[in-house]
Amino acid sequence: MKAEAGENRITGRKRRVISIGFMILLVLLWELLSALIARPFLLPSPSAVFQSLWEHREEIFLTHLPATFGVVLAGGLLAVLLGAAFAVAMDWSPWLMRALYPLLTVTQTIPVMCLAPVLVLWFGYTFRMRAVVVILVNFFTVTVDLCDGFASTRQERTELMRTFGAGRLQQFTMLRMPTALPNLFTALKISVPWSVIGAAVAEWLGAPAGLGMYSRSCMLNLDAAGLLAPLMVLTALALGMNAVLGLAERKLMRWKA
Amino acid sequence: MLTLENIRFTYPNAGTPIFDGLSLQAERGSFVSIIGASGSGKTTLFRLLNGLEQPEAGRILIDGAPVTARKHFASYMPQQDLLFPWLTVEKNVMLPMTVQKQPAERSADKARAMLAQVGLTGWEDHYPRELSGGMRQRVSFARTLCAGGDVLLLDEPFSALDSITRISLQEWLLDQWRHLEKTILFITHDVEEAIFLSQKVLVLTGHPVTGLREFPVPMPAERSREMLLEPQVARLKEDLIALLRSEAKAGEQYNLNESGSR
Repeated sequence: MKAEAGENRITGRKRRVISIGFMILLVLLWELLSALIARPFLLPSPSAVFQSLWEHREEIFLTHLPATFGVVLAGGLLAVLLGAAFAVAMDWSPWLMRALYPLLTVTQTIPVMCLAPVLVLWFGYTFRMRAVVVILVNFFTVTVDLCDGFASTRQERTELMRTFGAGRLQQFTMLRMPTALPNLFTALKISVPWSVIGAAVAEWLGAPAGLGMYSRSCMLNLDAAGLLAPLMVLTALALGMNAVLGLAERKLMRWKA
Repeated sequence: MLTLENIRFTYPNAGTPIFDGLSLQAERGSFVSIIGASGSGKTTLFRLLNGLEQPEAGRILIDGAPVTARKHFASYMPQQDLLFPWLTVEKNVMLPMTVQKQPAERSADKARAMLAQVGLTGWEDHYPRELSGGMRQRVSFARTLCAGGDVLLLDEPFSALDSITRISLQEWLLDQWRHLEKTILFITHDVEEAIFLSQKVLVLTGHPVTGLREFPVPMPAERSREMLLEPQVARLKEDLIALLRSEAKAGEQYNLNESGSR
């Protein structure tokens, strides 16, 4: 048994080494390929992308990243608050649930991103327009995930609470909310990358600052390395936010281990 | 004394009542087991007692007074422990007191005392997943005690446990009952368990259930597992099994007629 456990640990570490090694290999291949093609406006090398990132570091990290992060944070938080409010209301009222749930599952299939130009008509190239794009992209996922989480409460537990004399409010706060907590984290983790994508797309349409806007302006200048550099920052932003969420999840759900 | 008088109850969407004119009595501080063929309404009886269902007719009295006046007269222990996985053992035991908005400090003290009573001192801050099935049922029992009822309704609490754990928990429960001065109503489908634990065994009979057959258990309160082998106890066991089998057969016939007439 002990030997087996030891072997498992080695394979765990091995697996990580393999995946990191493979990633390095891919980057090297990309570098080689771009050297072979030798047309940096078609396929810039990874080193060129990093170089572009370094050269424009002040502009990217001090102007454009804060602008995008602001849209992601404001839109994301509002989406979660709004989605949660809808989910709570629907869980409370079976009538609302019957009316809205089918509608929400249908609207989930609408590519909200394609509605962004309409939002430009309504709000102009404003912060509000970009935040609304992020809200629309995430709102339905949060609502549906949370609704399903509340609904996964076991009937027997609800009845046990009733025998203790718990009313609906106590049943909700002491039983249904903790039951749905894992679903909330699932929704949040899906929302983070979609918020980043939503913000970047909204910025493509036009914005005074932001990584999406910066990336697009590089495209217009046929600067492929400059186009890719902010995308790497966007990816890092999403990964970083999800890492923070993961920490919060582990702290809040220690009981799951 | 807990009394049920002429209880009548029909589930919504069911044509015929499940109970009609059901009466029973349990003396204060006694241990009463209720057995019956599956589908005979054992769990429904408990749902009426813990307030999850209301009888159409008849009264439930405690010491002669209707129970509606006394809110938490009965504490219910479900078949599965249903502990909340996100709460520590202590917080789980405190749950009924938290719901009833009792002061947190006093609730925590009482919960710790109850955990000591069920032999789980030292496990207060652990989470349910760290406990074995038998330990979880003991936590569930401690939680039931904290719900504050004088009558404990135990709904097949040991049915999901392995046989060795079950035997030791039966002896443990008997010991608890001797110290607690609570009335225990115990549902089981296990005839031997019913005999070993209780002073009298009630069998639900008829479709709908109109009456209970009552069997006193010929054993003293201080008892051991060997006493189950004594002739009069063994005969009681055979009688109960024979009765349950004939009831189950009658139930099948009844259900067949019911589905035919629909």
